[in-house]
Amino acid sequence: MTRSVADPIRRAPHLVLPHTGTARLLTGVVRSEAGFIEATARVLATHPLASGGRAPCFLGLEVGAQAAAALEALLRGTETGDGSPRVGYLVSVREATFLQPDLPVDASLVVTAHLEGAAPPLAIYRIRITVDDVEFLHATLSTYGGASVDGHASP
Amino acid sequence: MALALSACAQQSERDGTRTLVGLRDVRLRRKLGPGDHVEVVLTEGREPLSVRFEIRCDGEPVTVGLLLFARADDSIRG
Repeated sequence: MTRSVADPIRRAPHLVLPHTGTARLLTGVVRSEAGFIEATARVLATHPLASGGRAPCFLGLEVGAQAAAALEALLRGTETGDGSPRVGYLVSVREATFLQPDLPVDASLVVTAHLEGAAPPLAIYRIRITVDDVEFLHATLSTYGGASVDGHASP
Repeated sequence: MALALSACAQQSERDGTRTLVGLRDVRLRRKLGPGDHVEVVLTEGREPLSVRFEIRCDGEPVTVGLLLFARADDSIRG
């Protein structure tokens, strides 16, 4: 079932992602369902890795990891009522393909993340980033999600 | 991680003849914080145009993986 969300990124981003400032790349959730999320993202021109209106394409891996984290936060809130933010880590990139050398800065990126498997607290996601329907990268990531922001372990 | 990876990619692209097109088997074993001093070790990979990298902090590997490049004039991009 696809969930229509009153966009949690715009409403209360601190409850979905612990990132702040230019580090928070996700800008909104388009739709989500069990094991899948489509979101929007933007790399600000003031991001430390941005230069000359471009950012290196591998920054898209962080965008994908944030989308995965948002999916986990939304599912956790739905399934357990636990709306507290969690600290998660990108622990591996099994493979990534960069179809363009750079990401555009201050442009709307569309990111999807599919949950491919999980053995909590580890999870594997297939991520993809497009800009105006042009694919920029796809990758398979593993994340580790565990402690809450205040240091308590995930149940 | 992104900053260190950027350094790896920039060094490998320095001659302007190749561009980063992929990564493989990247493992992030430990988080880095502001002020951490890192050492980046690059070695030639087994595959053509591949570079194995290892980022070390205090002598211990924190991130390892394989950078995949293509010649800049290859028409592999969309």
